[in-house]
Amino acid sequence: MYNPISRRAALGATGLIVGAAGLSHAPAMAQGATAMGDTLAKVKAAGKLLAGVRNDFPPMGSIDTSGKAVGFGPDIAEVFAKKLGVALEFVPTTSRTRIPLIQNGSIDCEFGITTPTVEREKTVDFSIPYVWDAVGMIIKEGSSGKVADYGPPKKVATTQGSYIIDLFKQYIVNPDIVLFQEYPDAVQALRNGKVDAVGVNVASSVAYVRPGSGLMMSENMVRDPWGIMVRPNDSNWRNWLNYTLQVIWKEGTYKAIWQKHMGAEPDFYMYSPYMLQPGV
Amino acid sequence: MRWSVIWDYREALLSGLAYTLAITALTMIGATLLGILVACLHQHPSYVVGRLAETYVEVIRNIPSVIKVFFLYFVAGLDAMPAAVLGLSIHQSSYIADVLDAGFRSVPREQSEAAWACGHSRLQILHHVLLPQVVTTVMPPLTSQFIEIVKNSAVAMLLGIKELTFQTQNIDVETFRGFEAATAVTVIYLALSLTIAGGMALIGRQLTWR
Repeated sequence: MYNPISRRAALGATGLIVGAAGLSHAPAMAQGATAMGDTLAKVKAAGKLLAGVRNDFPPMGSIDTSGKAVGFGPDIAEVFAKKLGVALEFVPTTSRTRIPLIQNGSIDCEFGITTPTVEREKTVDFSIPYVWDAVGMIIKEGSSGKVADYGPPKKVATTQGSYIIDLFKQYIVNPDIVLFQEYPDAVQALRNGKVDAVGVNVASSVAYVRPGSGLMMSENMVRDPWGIMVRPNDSNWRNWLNYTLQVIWKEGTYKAIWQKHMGAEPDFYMYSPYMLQPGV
Repeated sequence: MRWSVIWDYREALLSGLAYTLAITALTMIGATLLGILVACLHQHPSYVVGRLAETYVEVIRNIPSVIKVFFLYFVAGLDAMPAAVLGLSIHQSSYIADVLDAGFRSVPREQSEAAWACGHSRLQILHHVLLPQVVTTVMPPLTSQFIEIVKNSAVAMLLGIKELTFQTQNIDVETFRGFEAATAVTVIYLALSLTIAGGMALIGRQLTWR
């Protein structure tokens, strides 16, 4: 049986062995307590929000020329930190590091591009969908926009660990999938003709599919919700995030940030397609 | 801990190992041949050729292996496997050339001159005087270079080659059993490196006993 606790215990044990957790049991226990405890209280006590943001996924989250985190994720994180009245520290995350980082307490939550899946829910928790995205493919201008046309000998690419791999298998017969570590590499491979399509979240495609880029989007495979990722069994923190999300939606802050990065109004509504949660 | 995950993914790990072995073996051959060539060119009497070899070593060893592999894949347009093997071969050849160069310099020139004066041919000098001494000097650092190739082969995963490290990360993202996967892969890399070290020690002994 799958047991989500044992991995944390393993990490704690490793920390103890390498001495990172200190000589006695106490620091390891403290880390365990952080992992299990009330993050909202912890953030307020520390006076700092450790926000995981993507550094490889413009315009959701990337690094600008001066090395600063920029994008929709960082901007939203800033609003949350302001609501809490605490300082803000960005911690860069990737598809591979995001879950270990939330487990070991390096981040308090991730404003990333993480879709809540059943497998992930075994290890972490998620807020209500904070972005409704879609999944499609970046293709070269003039090629077929139908996903099913990309079977062998055509090659489709995405990043290792992405659930788009499963979508490829669902929408394409025997797909030839090439997996890169980062999206910029995958798109570069498309430009150089190494692969014929790159499966991406539509929100992130804005950075690559621009007039004059020679690239365009295929039809959508699915619509895809993203949640703010938090540690499991931390209702206080998750409730606060859910509530604040809707508050900033109501205030119009969310829409302004979305408009700034996506160049259009959001084509979804917060909480449900029709209304905010009663009481907000 | 759930070690059974290693068994569940045994086929993925084995195919990853096959890729790692292929990249390592091909790179070892390519890097050694290139390294010998560059070392010989460095010993070349012509000033220009010698300096060119020196420049090659300086430039190549100061560029990260990832850059070379990316350049060959994205800019030169090679396929993933050739790009990885050639990139790593070029990368490691500069170090190997340096090691061989040092080996030849370690034998005093007077020995060659004495052998030459005794009427030995150049080939005989190389065979009887230089090589036995050079091999003993060169074997330990050369072994380190070969082990370095084993570890550097993980760069291939950046081009989407499903080698050992790639498969390990796959286990991690699919099952979140990163600790078990990392432990297993550590043991495999260690076994690979120790095999190479053992093999090189054996070859070194064979060569010096002549």
